[in-house]
Amino acid sequence: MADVRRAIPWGPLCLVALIALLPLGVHSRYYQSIAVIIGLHTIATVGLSLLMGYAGQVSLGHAAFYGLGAYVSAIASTQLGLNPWLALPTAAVITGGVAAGIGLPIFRLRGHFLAMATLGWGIIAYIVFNELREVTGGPSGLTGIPNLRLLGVPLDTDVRYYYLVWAFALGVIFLSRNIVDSRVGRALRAIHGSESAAAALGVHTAHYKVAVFALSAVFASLAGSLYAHYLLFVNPPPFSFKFSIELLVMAMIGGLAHIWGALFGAALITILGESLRATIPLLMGHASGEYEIIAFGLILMATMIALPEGLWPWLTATADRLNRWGKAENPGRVPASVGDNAFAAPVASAREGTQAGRSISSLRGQGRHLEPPDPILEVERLSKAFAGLQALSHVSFVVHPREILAIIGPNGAGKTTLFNVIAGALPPSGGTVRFLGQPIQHLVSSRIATNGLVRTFQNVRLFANMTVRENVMVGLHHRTRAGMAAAALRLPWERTEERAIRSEAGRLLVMTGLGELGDLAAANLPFGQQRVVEVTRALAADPTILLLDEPGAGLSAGERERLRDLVRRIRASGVTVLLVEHDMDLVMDLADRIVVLNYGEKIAEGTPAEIQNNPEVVAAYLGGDVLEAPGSRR
Amino acid sequence: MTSAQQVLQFLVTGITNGSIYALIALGFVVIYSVTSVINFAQGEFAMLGALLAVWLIAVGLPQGLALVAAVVGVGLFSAVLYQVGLRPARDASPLTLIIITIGAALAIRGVALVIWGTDPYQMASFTTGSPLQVGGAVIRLQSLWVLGTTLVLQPLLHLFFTRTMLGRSLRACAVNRLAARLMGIRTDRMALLAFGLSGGVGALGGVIIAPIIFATYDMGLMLTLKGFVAAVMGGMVNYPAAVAGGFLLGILESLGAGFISSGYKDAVAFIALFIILLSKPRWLVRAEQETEEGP
Repeated sequence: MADVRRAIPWGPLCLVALIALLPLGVHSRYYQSIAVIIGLHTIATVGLSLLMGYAGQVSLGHAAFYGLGAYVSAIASTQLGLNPWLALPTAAVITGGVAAGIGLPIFRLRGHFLAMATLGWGIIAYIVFNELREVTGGPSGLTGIPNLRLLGVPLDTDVRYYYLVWAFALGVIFLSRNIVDSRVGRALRAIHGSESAAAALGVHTAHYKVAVFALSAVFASLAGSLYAHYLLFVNPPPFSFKFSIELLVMAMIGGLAHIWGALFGAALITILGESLRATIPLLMGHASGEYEIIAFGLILMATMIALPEGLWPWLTATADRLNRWGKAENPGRVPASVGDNAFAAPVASAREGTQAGRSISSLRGQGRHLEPPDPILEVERLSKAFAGLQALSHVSFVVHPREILAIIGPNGAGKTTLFNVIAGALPPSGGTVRFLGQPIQHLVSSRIATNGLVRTFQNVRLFANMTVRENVMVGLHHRTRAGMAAAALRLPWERTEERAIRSEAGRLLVMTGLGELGDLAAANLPFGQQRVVEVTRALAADPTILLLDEPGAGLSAGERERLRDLVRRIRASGVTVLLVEHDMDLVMDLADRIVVLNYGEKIAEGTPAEIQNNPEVVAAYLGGDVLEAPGSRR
Repeated sequence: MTSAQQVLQFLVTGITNGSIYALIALGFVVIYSVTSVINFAQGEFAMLGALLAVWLIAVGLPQGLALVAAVVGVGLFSAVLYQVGLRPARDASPLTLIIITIGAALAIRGVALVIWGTDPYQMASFTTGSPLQVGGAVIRLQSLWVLGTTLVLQPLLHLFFTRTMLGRSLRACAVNRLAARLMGIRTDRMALLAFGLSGGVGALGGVIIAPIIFATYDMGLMLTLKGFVAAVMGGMVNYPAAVAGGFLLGILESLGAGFISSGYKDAVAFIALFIILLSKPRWLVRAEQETEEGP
């Protein structure tokens, strides 16, 4: 019953019907034109929503892409005499190319600096629209842009154009929803959740950020081209910084990570802007001016302070609550068993564990290195200096296949720095790291992960915005291949692959004892279980060698016991384990060999028994008994 | 006019404009170094300062008093902005905070439009007298005021931040907010103070250029952006370097406008911004790492 209800998307269908019937009830040309503009804004906002809401990247310069689409379309269809239908894709390709070109360097930046760089791009483009007079017509703009024609009929009335624009808008929404609900969409959300963790699982973060930026630019360009062939005239003012901000407000109101919300935001802000433009001058008595910016500014502030998730998600959540309350249904759907059952894998699955990540054959990468070379990992004279601090100096050791090697040392000994350098999160100051015989110290962390070296983080970095299962599914990312186009078009093989990803993630979750928790938000799990999710996710990436950074920190005694069991099973499945850990009981019990760091230097290496009796190690731990040494950092 | 004279004249113009960028940049640095927020309303403070001072003079206040009142008033306004706009969301992501300040900037500009309309306003120069002639270049007396203010203010700020307890407390917040709190520094108060100070410095920038340029309700955005570029040139957390960045930007712009095309004058700042950001100086990498790890 519930399945049938979910299979037919009544909400969207009603909306489509409403959009289709709207012109029958609206005869004012003014309102019709507003409906067209809302459609154009929706197209651009959906792109921005993908970029900001899903990938978590910001653009304060999207008006420039809208403008670029409009200008290229205008120039191509007038000066170059191109058919308007060819002008549209021409503009889209050029704009996408420009976006990729500037995105490549820009997305090396983060946070405010990214915001400012995109803003700078928007301003430069605006200046160029104004100054490149020979091409753009300067401030007076370009006229004589031809209408689009469909089957010989010119789309020259508001109603005709309305249907064209909304066909595009719904198409863009449809494609975007498909992308969001796919391997690509998960990768984008993972980047938003934690870029470093996504990269550590083999998601090529730089690639995806630029790709989604280019896609959002293409959407903006499409909207801009449609704008040009609607007004039949372009000049610079509509593409100023102010319009970038309007698009931003629309996306924000719509709740960034909601594709339908983009439509809502575009409609609300466009209508609001129009009505303010009409009414404020009457109230104020001034003749002209962009008074509506006061309202935009205040709305933007209020939304960010009170509803940072956006107005639309809040509305839908409220409607949901009312609905459920009306049905007197139990609001909580959390399984009752979300207790302390971390690592509660049944013993029977230990055998199953010996096949960790190796049973579903449609996924790439299984058993790539069942016979890895020895040594599997060689660290040679590795150094890392931060300003004024030598965190690692000339550390060398090797890791043999299928061993558990523990790295120990007092706080600040450089253990996590060592992990960061090996896994590519930090560039080394000197030395080499060879993995499977190949040097990897110059590779980015996503490349190292796809090669089979996967790590977890000391301070668990789950994608808090995703469910437990989705977290694990991101781990399977680099073993699967559906790209943006396949996802947008829902090609049959893409769906098959998606099902394989889902079932493999489910299998891994069962293996690590999290089988029932797959649909819970990762952020809501107790800390111990979050650790297990992170390990499961890393296993999904099919590691040849797994780097565990203090997996025991913050766990209860029972959880630690189960962790020990899990690490043994991981090793038994053929995975080499490199472990940083403070809990000496755990280390002495698990490790085949131990490397001891102190002040960034290796001071000892050997079997647990050798290390326990090494006087230098004992001295490093402040003269205390090694077995009584600090248990856990927190 | 010989080309040497031309260059000299461009330098004079550049340094005058650069002083304003420097003051805005100082405002950016004060807020950023204490709260890690990039305040998009920074240029609006200059706009408010200028228009408020012009208005106060028009209603009959003596010029000196009007200037002080405008600077203090905008400083208080900026503190209020922090209290109502940013403090409630202080744990949000940097992106959210930046968008809140964008919202504030829009609202301020809109209110200024309602109050003052789209007309440009000009203020009388601080001192009357004929412009100086130096090596063929013309220097307006007000330019000297502008330059002097910047050159005096920067060391004063520097002294405040290095030699007074309050200034050191502010810097402590910049280095490590949690540790500062544990030392008994009230970090919220410090953020409030930083906004107030920054608003005052921004307004000062506005009032001293009001006699040179025509002040309009919409001049804030460009000042924000240029001031930000200057602050980036100076490494975001360094006061003398931010001032140097302001001068450098002003000179580059003035030379670019003179020798290339005045239409592209505003693009100079952003091309400079791109070059700096993309060369990724070490301070930037550090600042980004801080934003990723977050609070």
